[in-house]
Amino acid sequence: MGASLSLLAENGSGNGGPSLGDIPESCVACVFLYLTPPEICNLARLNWAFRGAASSDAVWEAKLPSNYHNLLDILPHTDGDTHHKLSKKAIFAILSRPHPLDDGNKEVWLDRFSGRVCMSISAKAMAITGIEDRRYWNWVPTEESRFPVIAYLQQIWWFEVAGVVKFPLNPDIYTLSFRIHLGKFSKRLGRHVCKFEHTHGWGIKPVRFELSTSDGQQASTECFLDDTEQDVANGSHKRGCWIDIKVGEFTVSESDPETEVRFSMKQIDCTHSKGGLCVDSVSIIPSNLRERRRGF
Amino acid sequence: MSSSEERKLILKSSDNEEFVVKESSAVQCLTIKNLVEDRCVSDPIPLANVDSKILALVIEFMEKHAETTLSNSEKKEFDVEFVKKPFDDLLELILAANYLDFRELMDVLCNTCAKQMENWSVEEVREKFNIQNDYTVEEEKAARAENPWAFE
Repeated sequence: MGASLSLLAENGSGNGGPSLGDIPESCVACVFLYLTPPEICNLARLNWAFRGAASSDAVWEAKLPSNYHNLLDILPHTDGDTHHKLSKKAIFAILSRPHPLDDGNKEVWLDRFSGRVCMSISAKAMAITGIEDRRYWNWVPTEESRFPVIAYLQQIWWFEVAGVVKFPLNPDIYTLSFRIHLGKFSKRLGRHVCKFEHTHGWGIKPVRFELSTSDGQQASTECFLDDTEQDVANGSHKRGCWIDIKVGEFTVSESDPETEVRFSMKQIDCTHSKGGLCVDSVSIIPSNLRERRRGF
Repeated sequence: MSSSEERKLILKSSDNEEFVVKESSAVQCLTIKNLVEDRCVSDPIPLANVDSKILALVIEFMEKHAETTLSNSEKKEFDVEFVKKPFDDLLELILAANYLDFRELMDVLCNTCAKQMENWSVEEVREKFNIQNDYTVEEEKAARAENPWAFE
């Protein structure tokens, strides 16, 4: 390696060749740019150089979404005045927890692995036709949701659930999905138990799902919520578990200060009634959440 | 063709081997670029922290990436093959790229390193890479407890 006093010679292990522990903190920080936050926090336990790199602002600034200042300003429970005193890692830690908005009817958080912005909107924040009539809909408390209640439909002819959200989403491509459950559920002795006494009408005609944005993007899909004869033959089961029905995707670009998204699900063919369905929430999650990592 | 494209530099490794490179390739290393711009170029430029084996590899990468006739995908293909080296060599290259401030090489190497470290436990990383644990018992406990939010 030569007689000169290089970093290698000072700290190097005796058996020629450097070890990862000799790498200066700045290099470790560079490697961390390519690891996820949980991986970084895990490796902070290696030694002091790793711990130092794992706290470096440069690493965490790269993990935060570009509009994180907006998020800190908007979200309650974050003190806007002390932002500048917090390390970027602390900011990431704060934003990766779900934050309630709109009286707790919405939640926003950063995905821990990718730092991308995610949102969930409770049924409570949506316009549901007939929600005020207890013959049709009821609010049911639950532990199986991010939110304290879900909307349970006993039966109705005009089924329409719609909502709108306006939020400064980070530039990204997002997938919007409805989270629903066929059948009424409860917990008995810690187990998820379902009743289908009211579940009917979903196999007759499909439900139409739509989304649109204020800048003209649109997506829609149709599907039967219940098992049709073909599903039963194929052995698929839609009943008895939470399903996320993907409506479609939309793109937020750099220039959008705030994105407005409208979404709905409808089955308004009044020749048949339908019921026995739980509606929990709509989620807006970046597409391919686990797939996009920096690198090759 | 202006003469600056043909201007050559001599780089000398820590073990006194000399390498002739085109200035246009070498200035991808900001350390060298700064020397050139400040007109502090001695002849040859001594690189005390880089031995000849590693310097040869750095120059190989440098010249490939300076080639204007290659497409980005061709450069990527080269990168994929370039990083197929023993881990010790990769670490030495990282140190060299850091010292020379060669951003492109640094990115490629760090990405490769990160890929190898993904999904390994702390103990595995320590073992495979022979990292000295310079924590006391209390310090290690504190480090373990530091970021619970990342694992919720």
